[in-house]
Amino acid sequence: MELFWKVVTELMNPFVFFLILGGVTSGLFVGAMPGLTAAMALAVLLPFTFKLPPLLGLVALGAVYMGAIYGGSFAAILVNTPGTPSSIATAFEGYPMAKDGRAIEAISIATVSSAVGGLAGVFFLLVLSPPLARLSIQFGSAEYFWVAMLGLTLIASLSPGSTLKGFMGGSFGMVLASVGVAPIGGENRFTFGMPVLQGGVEMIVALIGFFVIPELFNMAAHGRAALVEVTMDSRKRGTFFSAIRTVFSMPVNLIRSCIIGEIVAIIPGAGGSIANLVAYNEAKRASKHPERFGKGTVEGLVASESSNNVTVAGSMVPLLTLGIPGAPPDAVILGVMLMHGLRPGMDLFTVSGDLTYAFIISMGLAALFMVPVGLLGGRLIYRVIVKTPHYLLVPSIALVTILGTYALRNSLSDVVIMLLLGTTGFVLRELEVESAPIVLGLILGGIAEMGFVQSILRGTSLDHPWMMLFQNRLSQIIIFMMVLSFASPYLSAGFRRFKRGPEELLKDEGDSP
Amino acid sequence: MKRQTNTDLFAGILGLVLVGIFWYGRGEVGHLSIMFPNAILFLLGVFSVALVVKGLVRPHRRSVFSEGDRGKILGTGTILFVWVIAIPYAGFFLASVAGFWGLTCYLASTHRKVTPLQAGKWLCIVLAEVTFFYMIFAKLLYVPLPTGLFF
Repeated sequence: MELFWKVVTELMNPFVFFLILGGVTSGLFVGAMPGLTAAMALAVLLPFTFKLPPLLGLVALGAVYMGAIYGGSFAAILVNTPGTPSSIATAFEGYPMAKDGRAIEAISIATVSSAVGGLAGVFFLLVLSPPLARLSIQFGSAEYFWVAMLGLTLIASLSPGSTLKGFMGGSFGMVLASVGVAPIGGENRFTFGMPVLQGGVEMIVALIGFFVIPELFNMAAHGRAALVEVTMDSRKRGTFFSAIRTVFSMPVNLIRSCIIGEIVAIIPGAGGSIANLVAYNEAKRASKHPERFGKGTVEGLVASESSNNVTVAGSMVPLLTLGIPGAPPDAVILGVMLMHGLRPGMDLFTVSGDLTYAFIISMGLAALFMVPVGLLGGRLIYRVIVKTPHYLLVPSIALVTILGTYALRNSLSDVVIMLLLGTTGFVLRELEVESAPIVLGLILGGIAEMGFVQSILRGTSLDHPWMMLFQNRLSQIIIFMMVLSFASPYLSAGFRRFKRGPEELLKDEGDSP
Repeated sequence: MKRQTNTDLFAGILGLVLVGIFWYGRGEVGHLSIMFPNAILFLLGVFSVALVVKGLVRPHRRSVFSEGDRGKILGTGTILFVWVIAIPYAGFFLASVAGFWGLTCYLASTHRKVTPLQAGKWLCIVLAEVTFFYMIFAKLLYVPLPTGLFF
């Protein structure tokens, strides 16, 4: 009880509220700009927190993180360009909704879903921290490898057209992830004699290239028409209360997406970039109308936005208990904690309990602040984007994209790589190899390689070292999930065919072109 | 009728070309460093061959590069590459003003006649926008933006 009042006293400081409001607002605008990520927003803000007391510094960073992950949905919905990797799946449904004249509705639903996800993440962090921390400790190299392979099966089902093209795109992404210094052998691969490639293909650089550049080409090719398609919808349909009704009308989807977000969040290295795709995929799989996905369905949008915001607080579980950042932005927060002498572990929940719990609850407040900030800011950003002529909008996005890519590592080579990958992505998209599997392959490639090579090394004493990948019970469970995930679309299709009977099937085949 | 392309076949061939390029670029490296890339390249090859076979047996066809103005895509791509390549020589600010303004005039020119007055107005907007971002990144965030002829 004493701890509770201490936490309340800490949070009653008006400056805390000001910092949360400012943090969410600035995070939202940074996240809404393609190329500027949550990690970058936090890194940029870091110097400003040096002079602040530990709690205020952490509160500001937590609010920026929450706002930036949510802000990524704006660009995804309005220009089909995920502002952050956490909003890839948001673009699948949000942009078709916007093209259908439902942009404000999509933004309102994304806002409410993000707020619910943010609050759910805080709930999980407060209540489930100890058991989840114990589960994350169980993950060894083989489990990491299989988690990445599970991602590969998701890649295939995420690909809207051909499964084979999805696998091809995912494999290409994994090959791109192997460019540069090997994580274990330490030698250079695929550098083609260019020292600049020794550092590898930065994930954010590839993400910007694959998602922004094809869209710029598309906008340039279609001119005014590319933007006119996104039209203003009635305020009535996009109101806050209407969005609340819509989001809470699908409780199973919401709860499932939040749980998926939390499970992915506690796996170090995964984060919102994977959570949103997994949750979206599961929503599609569970839906009565999976064929509507990709055409502007609310279910997919709710799944993506709720799950990615769960990971903001959710990824703090391994950070606060083990000192392992669950996602890149967490690394910045870890740096601030260490700078203020706060060491992750049990002491954080006992000796510095008031500060830790105040920080956790402040993230919940940031999730609530997202609603007014997002609904007001959303309309503002929407109007700016819609009213700007395409011949000014395309170069403006190009400018921010070039700057954002350059500022990641102060490297002009990264900008050239981004343009090359973007052009390749545009050509591949025309051949129906989508960008999402390539980027997911790039994210998973590093995790898979580490897990694979470490497992083989650990198994050198065995007759067949690769057996190390199959020995652990947790690995076997993940392999089972992977097989199930791979087979379930075929199984459900077979089941549907069986249920409908041979006559209807013959009729369907007769109707089909 | 628009010309239809066998996308399975072309995607498979592109995949095989990528396998070839990366196979050639593996370099002389030890077993530990190349174990995983070899496995993934093998998989990429398998999927590409499967796509080629599918393209020959049961192809999926669609018209590619058929929507919108293809010339604009080529022009925009060229301006973007020239813009970035010019940065080390002209400096970030100057190259960006030129690239931004050039792209604006180019994209607007297909929809309307660009008068010198309009081009002048856009130059003012471009100058304001590039200066705004330049100040934020270079002066506030201390990102060392490339300098060239002037600054």
